[in-house]
Amino acid sequence: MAASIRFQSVIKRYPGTAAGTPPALDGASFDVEPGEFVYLTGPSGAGKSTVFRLIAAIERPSGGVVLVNKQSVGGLPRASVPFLRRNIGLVLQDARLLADRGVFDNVLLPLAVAGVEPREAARRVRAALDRVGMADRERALPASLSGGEQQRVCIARAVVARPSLLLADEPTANLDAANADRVLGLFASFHAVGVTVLLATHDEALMARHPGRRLALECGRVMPTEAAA
Amino acid sequence: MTPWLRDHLRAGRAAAATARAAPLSTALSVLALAAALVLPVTGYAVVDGLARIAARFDTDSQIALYLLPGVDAKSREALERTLRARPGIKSVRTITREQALAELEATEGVRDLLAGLPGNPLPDAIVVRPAVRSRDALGTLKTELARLPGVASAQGDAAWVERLDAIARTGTLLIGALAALLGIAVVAVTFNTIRLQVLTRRDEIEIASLVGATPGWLRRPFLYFGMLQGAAAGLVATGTGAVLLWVANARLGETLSGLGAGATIPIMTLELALTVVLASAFLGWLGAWLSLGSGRI
Repeated sequence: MAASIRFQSVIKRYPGTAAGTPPALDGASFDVEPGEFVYLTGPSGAGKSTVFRLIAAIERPSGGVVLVNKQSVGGLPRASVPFLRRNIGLVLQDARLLADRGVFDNVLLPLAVAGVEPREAARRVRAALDRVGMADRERALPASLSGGEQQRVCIARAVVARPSLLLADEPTANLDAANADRVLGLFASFHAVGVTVLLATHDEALMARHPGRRLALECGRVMPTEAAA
Repeated sequence: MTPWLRDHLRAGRAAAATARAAPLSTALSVLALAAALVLPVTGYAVVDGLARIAARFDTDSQIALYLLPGVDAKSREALERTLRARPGIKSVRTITREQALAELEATEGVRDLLAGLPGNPLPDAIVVRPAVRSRDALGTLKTELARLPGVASAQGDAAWVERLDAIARTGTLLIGALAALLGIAVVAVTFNTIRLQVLTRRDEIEIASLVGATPGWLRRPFLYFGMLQGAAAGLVATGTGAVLLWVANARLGETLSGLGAGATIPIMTLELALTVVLASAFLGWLGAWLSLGSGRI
């Protein structure tokens, strides 16, 4: 089942910020329907990463309500957070891979964490690597991979546990045009099978090639935008 | 295999892999912990051995009643009957002054000495083997027997055993305090080892947490490592203690030989070795647990 997201007047103020500094999110409200592909756009510091951190319960809102699948993330007990995250595939700007583990073990991590039976886990890892075109590099260490390959491994890791929601924070920022296009194509293919995708980017050309609704953030607020074609 | 068991095996393998990845630092940590443990372990083994010796002699303790010179055979037999009928007495044996003299004369070098005396200087004696074991009861019995008519004095031969037992008890107390202090050292060393491991694996912990790892899943390999390190230190300490006791036992044996056959310190009992290994494994686990708690994992 695809996931839904709802932000209701969400405020996020990070502790330790100087008095008078505007909050990272300042009354942001938006909805993402199940199975939608949504681009989160906006300049640096607009609050895009904060949106992802709130959805994945890395941070708690200072005000307002964040709902994922109609469940309040802010009020989630600490013990329930890991189970929320198992339903979310997270891809960050810097490919955060374990440097001392091969590609296979990196992609295996979400399944190991979820206690999936080893043979079934291996089958699913190989299927995910095949999907992102990295099946022949499963023994390679991250350091031996290009930026685009590392990002594809991250995507494989994000989707291997079959999440209903994919969050991608500027996944193409460090990639050349060809690799960026390929990575975005992967997200589009997961969206095509019903996964809700929320992707932060400010690459206009990329958004033009891969259609999706745009959600613009500015100074922690959602700005009115027209839907992309 | 159940997911629970699979996860514990995973944690055990991860802990072993951590040790294998840094064999020198792991070995040094184990040696540091073992060095802290070996003193209380060996000390306890010695004190426990002394306590066992004291307990054994305590079982065989006896009270010798020396009779007044004027007590005739009839009165002595009456006293024997009184003693046999008395509760708290296991057996009674009379050694007449003639028997005592004969035994003494059998001792080399004493015969000439006795020949120089005008007569038999020894009194009749009744040796009582008490049925009671506690020191208090023995003391009370001795005092009561000394007051019986015809008895000149009562002498318990367990005084030195009592002293040995007191030394052993004091030793146990001191060793206990020392073990507690050094146990804290074990916890502290493990605390720091795990803290360093957590710092070096911060990225891995963060990534695993982002993909849905529970705190238990993240903590388990560190807890296993602390426990394994503690158990290994316990084993090394037990082994070192056994070797030290083996080396020292000959000397201790000579010193203690005056107490009778078999009065030696046991090298290391299986019970003590198991206790040490389990206790140090627990201390290692505790150090890791405290460290993870302070690191908010």
